Amino acid sequence: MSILSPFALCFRRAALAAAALALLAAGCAGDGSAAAPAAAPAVAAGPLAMRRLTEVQYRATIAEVLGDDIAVAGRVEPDNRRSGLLAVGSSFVSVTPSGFEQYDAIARAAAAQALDAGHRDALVPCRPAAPGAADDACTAQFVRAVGRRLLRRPLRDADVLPRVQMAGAAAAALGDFYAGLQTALSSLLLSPEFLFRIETAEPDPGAPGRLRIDSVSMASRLSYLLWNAAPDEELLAAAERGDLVDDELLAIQVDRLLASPRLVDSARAFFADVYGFSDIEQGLVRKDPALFPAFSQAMIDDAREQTLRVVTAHLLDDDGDYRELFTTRRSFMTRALGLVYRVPVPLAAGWQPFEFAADSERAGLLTHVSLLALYSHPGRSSPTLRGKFVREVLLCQDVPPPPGDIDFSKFADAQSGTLRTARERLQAHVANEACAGCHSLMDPIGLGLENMDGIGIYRAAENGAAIDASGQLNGVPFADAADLGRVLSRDPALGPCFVDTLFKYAVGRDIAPGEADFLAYLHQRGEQSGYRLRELLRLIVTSAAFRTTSGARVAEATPLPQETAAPSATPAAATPTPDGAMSPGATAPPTGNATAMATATPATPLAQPTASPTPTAAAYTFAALQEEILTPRCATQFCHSAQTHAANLVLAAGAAYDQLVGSAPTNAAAEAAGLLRVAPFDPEGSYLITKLMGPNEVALGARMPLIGNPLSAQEIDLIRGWIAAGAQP
Amino acid sequence: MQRRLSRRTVLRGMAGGVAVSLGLPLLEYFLNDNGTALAQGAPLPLRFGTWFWGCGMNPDRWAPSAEGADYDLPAELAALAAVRDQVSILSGFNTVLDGRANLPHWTGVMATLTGSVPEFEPEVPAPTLDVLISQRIGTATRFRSLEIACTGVPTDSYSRESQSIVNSSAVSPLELYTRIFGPDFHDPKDGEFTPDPRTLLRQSLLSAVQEDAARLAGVLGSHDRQRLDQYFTSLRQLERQIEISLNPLDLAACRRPTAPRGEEIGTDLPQAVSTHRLMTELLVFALLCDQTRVFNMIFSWGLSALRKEGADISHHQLTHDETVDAALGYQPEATSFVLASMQAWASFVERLAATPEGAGSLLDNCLILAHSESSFAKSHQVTALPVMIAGGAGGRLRGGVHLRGNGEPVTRVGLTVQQVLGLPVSEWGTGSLTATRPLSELLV
Repeated sequence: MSILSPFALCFRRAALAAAALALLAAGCAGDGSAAAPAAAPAVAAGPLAMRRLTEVQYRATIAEVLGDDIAVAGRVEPDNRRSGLLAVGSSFVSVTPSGFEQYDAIARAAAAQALDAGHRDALVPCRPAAPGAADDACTAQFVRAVGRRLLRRPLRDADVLPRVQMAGAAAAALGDFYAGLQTALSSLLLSPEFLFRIETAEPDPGAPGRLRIDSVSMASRLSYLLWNAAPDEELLAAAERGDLVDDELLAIQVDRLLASPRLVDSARAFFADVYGFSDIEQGLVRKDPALFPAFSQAMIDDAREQTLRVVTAHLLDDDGDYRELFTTRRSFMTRALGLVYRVPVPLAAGWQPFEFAADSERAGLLTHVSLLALYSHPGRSSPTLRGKFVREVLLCQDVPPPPGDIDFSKFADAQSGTLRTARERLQAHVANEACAGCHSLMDPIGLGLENMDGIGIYRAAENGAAIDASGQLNGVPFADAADLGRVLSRDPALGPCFVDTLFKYAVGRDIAPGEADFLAYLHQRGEQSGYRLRELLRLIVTSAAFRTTSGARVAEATPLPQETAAPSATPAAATPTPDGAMSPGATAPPTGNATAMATATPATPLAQPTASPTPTAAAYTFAALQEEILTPRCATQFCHSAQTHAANLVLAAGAAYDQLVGSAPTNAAAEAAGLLRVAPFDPEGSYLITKLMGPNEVALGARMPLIGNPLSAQEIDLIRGWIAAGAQP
Repeated sequence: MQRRLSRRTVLRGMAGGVAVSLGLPLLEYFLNDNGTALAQGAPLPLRFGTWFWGCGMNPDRWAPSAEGADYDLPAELAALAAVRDQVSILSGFNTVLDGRANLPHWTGVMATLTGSVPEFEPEVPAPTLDVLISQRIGTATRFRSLEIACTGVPTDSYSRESQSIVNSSAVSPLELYTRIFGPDFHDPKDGEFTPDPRTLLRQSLLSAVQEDAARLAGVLGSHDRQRLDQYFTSLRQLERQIEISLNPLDLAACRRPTAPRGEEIGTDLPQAVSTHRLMTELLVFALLCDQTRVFNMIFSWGLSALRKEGADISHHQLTHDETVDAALGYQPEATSFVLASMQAWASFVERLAATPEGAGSLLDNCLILAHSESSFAKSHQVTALPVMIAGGAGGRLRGGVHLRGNGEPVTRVGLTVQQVLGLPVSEWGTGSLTATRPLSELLV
């Protein structure tokens, strides 16, 4: 019943006996499919934090346990994105007062439906002695059965007894056994252990000093990742037997989950999170009806569904290479979408497979209406938003935030009336240095998609001017949107970015420093085998990075001020603005001690940002300047690195000295003023100092560094001193 | 660390020892003598609200030229003519960056509301003002605070405990109506009130859940423990709501409004104005019924998505893309949204001012801080931020003065607001944004 690939077997055996690894790996190479899998490197896994169920998981869990016809009406507290993922944000959020109200309203409505006359028999494993009275035994049976599914663990007496008592009192008061069950069920749906996935760790007997996620916690960890839902009966039973901390037994469950059709829900949830589809689902993508009459919520819902269908058909049905998602011409259509894609859809209702012609302007996900409409403004397309999406989401390359101190008012204003295409309008941005640095990372990509308007309809011209969709991505030229997809599919950052994002999604946090080698290993495995989703998921969930932890996440320095001693029953009218000193207890600090999980070794805090070292040398040397300032602050990926060489200036080690000392600046005004980039013995004649201090004339350009904080006065003085002393190498 | 002082001490300090006795006892004069105040005979409640609009203004066309009362109304404040004596204009207060980056459309609002400059977007360096204030004056009502956004995005809310804990906004009038005036709302004037026995059961239900959570506290790490504390706080707020719904207040001025129709929401200006009008109505009823004492109204987000109908470009995009008209000296299209925002703000103040409460108006018992995230949005300027304060704060504030900040930190506003509302705070903000002196010119 489980499908075991030769590779999976091989990998598991390898994991079983690390000592015999070389031997086994050699043996496995003969299996044919892939090159010999190298050993997964040692991992120091990251910290553990509880994760609030995402809205989709919350709804899916209720549907799975209570029945899929139970309506979960109303809004749920919005999820919060961090590091590009709601899944990562879920390990930081809590429940606000309005969020709790919403959970409460849904809990009561869902409990009432699930226990109404039409549903109760399917859910309650026993019948009460009398329907008009309490029946503690049956209630306990119900709470244990449903509670185990909702809380994803076996229930303890402390969970059950108060609920039996409460349900009994309710049944007696209302003369209705099932009304009693409703209160018990509502209380389960509000429990923090339902709303949050709370995982616990235990010492790993196989690796002294290390913590592993315990078997019961592993069940939810696996099922929410691989099915985007609560564990099913078989997985829970395996978890309770302790199977999920055993390599071989875990592999059996992993195989079963990966082979299930429900894996589709995992892929859909992952891509919906990464692509930001929650905005579509919540009706937040809005377009001007006069400009885009073809836009409707139904159309954009179809567009989202189309993308998810293409993704799952390619990655799961065909076990395809992730990178081919950006070139595939295979798709699915509804009639509503046909109107936007301008293709005939004979089928009046439902979905039909569709293949774009080889000479079509459409190929790959970048030409999907879902993404084109989502990464646009309500009234027009946005090459910047689209380019930012490709750069940040698909290539995992950070685009720095726009500099905050640009005085736009001093720039020559573009004659907006005469600019007809987005390319012309954006060139106005890129014509000035402060904007160009970042916009050049985004706009050229997005301009490749300009043949698709703000909702993704094809157009050859904008305002009567032909659209030029050519450009380059990381130095590789492309001719149009379909070609951009082809170039993107070959970009070396695409696959590793997919792997990193998938990993973060799986563990619900950022990559820990001790996991870097493991990620490099995953990149290599992905590169060898085409970044197949199933294989990557298998490698992740069977890894130490997924199965172990450094301990509970430690709170950041600033505690949340919480009102822990609020008066609970003060009549509203009796509290005018309080007078007098606030008693020390009124805003008590959080009571949480840094209690690490279970027995753990002290928990490791997340990497804290460290302040850059402050140079202090009396006689500042160029070596120090290079190491402390030029390399970290200037020769960065998007600025004065050898690859980017903004303003034709490279400030990386080895090149910087020659480029700076005695060279003429490229800035015309600076050159006209007779400045050198660095004029030995003459700090005030050095353009470098002008740029670091902040030029007082627009023509001299922006203050450097463009990104991040300016250098301190102390740092600039050190550089001044180095120049005054002759700018020695 | 903030030093904590009693408000009385603070007031005495602010007023230099003169006429201190006026501030507090004034409340007593509002006590009921003809059935118009709280039936229990308690003083009328004091409320705090924020009213935010995105993308600032043009400082030269917004800030009055004269200081003090009876200030002049430049073009971009003209809408305030009818309520000038109830709105104070605070011009020329700055965000001081201390060398940090000015994060576009984020730094300015965080400086005003948290007293600190964030390191990155969307960092929230400290709980926002409304959160601090709701812990002081919002704990007794059904809702600790109400968040409202008028252009349809629930996450448009600056009411934040931290980066991850965001009090999301109601975006549809019907949703807000149902939350406040739905089945859990009771007005004794509706007739005999018999509590639903199920409501009583909800209390024991929450106790059971609270026990679940308490058991967890011992096994969680410090990060999760903080999050669980927030969960507890939220749970207790729901308990309080249930208590209040079992013991509804009998307030003479309170009436259940008629339910709004489920109408469209969106970013085009007429729609946003209409949503704002309906939301304002519901808020007025909610305040009269003492359902909350803290509110946050977002007319438009910092990256203002407001648009003219059929226009392909938003207010925010216009601020960056539109040419400054050489003859006019400003961006005409972008500025039209500034005017519309000020009209909406004026209509909001007018509505509260026209609502009787006690011997005066609802506005008399409010302190409303109106602000934006930038001044001249084209350059993301966070100096000379536009700030306004409306309402009498229960007799504590002088209305209708123009005060120049001359580059002082904007945190002086937040410090003043907290002190007026009774928070024992003598210092607020960090770094160069640390404020130690309230704006005594505003105080009675």
